[in-house]
Amino acid sequence: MLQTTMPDSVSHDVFQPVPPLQAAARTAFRLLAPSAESSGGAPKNRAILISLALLAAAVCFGLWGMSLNTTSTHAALENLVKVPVLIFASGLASVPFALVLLKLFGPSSGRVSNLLVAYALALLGGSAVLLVASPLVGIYQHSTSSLGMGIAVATAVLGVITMGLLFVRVLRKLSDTSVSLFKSLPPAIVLMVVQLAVLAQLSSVTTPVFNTRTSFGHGIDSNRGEP
Amino acid sequence: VNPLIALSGLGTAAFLCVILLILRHALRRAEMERVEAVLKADEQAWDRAP
Repeated sequence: MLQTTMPDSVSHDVFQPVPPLQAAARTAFRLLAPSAESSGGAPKNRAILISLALLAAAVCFGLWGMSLNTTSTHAALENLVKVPVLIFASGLASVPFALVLLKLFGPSSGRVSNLLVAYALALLGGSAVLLVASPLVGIYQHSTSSLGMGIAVATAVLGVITMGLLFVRVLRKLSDTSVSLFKSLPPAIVLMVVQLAVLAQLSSVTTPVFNTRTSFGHGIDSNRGEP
Repeated sequence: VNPLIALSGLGTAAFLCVILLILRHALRRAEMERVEAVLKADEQAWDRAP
């Protein structure tokens, strides 16, 4: 007789692959984690990983930006848009620079997607740190005039340092073990430096993100002692 | 509004739109691959069944 229902032995051992979004989140956490183990093979869906990380980072940056300026709703909403725009615009200006350097002077096995995955995950990690610090920033900005600004700037510095460290960590996990880190590191350093340089100039031509303009927000002229 | 900032805003908006399109396409492709893998595994399990 023809069997029409699934046997018990079949229904239990059917292979169930992980849904793509869940797989991307798992990969992101695996690459960002401090464990010394390698990436466990190259990430499969790099496009999903990069896109999700960038979108999540944009949301985190926006929310942190909102907490920076609690003096008015208008300023907070402006920061919700302005902070991600500043970060992404400076990123868009610096990534092509790093990619060309990677192709010209980086290791022969250096993949563009490795650099992009590391950059997107570093942005995500740094923005997550900023997001968890935003309640502290918001409370201090709203309630104290002496410490509020200092704490806001300190979280920004902490975010940049976290981004730099995570960038190196993910790049190290993704890159071929036979390639020296010193060969794959220069494009990453150039990317961070160029992004900070562009960010400083972009900040100088827009309204301040913080309650008052910082020396970084005055651009390169004030840092060189010029008016 | 400073033209540089307006340009940055437009560039970022365009970039996010492209990212969303890439994500949509990649998710569709990954979901299709996942369904294919499930069907293939299911078929193999049926073949192995007594």
